[in-house]
Amino acid sequence: MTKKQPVTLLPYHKTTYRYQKLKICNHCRQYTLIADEPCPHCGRDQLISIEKKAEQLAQRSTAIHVLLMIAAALLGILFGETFLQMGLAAAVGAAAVAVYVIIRERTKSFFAMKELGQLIERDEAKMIEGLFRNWEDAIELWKTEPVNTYERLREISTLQRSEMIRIQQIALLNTFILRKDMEIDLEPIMLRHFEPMLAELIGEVAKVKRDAIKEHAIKYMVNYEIEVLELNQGDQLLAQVVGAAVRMRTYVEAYPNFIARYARYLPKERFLRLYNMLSRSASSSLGHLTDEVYRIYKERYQWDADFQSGSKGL
Amino acid sequence: MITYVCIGILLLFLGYLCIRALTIHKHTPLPDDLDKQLLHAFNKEGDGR
Ligand SMILES: [Zn+2]
Repeated sequence: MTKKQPVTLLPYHKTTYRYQKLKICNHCRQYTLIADEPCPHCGRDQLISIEKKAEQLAQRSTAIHVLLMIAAALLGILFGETFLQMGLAAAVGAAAVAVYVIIRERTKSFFAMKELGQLIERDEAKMIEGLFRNWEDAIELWKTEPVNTYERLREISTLQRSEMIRIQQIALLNTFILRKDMEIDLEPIMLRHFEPMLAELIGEVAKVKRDAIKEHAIKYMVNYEIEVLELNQGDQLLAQVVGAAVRMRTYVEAYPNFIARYARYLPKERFLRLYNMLSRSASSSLGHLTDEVYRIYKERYQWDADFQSGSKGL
Repeated sequence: MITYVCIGILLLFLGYLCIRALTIHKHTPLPDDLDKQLLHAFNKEGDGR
């Protein structure tokens, strides 16, 4: 295995909607998902969000309508036979523009949304092209700037959810020294099939940042338990995950047999947690987990002071 | 005469635009649908989830 690098990862900025990650270049009209840099297509500094672009398009259509109204009013004034007619045309024109501008102002978010929908429909192919350009650029930096590559892939995977981009992120994360203070979310990179690199990554995350191990990661290890066991130190990886899983009762109740199989590998502090959890309220749904925990307790911790305080025993 | 025609056209146009603006919410896509549409587009060949 290659030596792991100490790194600093920028936090991932999650947007309410995925499309908010898309930027368009106001110069060449190409799309990109990578913010804070010039347009990857033409190199100009004119990227704006597609929401902003939709707003601009909506404003433009308002402007065109207003101009048409002014033109009609001007024609009316021009062909006016009396001052009364001219005045009337001018007054109607001014009133019409005012009414329309007020209505558009009140409904502008709807118009912007409609423009956004049309933009996405019209430019779908260009957006895909932009995304693949981002992806290629990211891969080119792999050797020289792996962190940059990872951060770019993470952005791209907001919209491109293939197994390939997930594996690339997993491979990169495995070359970094992970720390507790890092923002690590395994959910977007979970795979359907078994991948040793992912099992290793989950084990590593379980070691450094337990709260990042959630249902999907535990389930993955449970599903591929046999494959993980065939890996070098596979039982250790599974034990790490079990150590993280015992932090919540839900997980213990969901996978009691899995936890029972690796309970004996748990370090004392994690085992104590599991022991306390079960002694507070044992449940029949836990199968033989309760028996197994009791057996380990008898075997190793019966005379341990930490196990006496506060717990009534199983 | 032409002036009145112009005013008429102007008012008709305004009427049309107002009706359109007042019913715009029926033609506006939901943000979630846009996300779905995009995910579908970007993951056509792959195995989008
Ligand atoms: Zn550009």
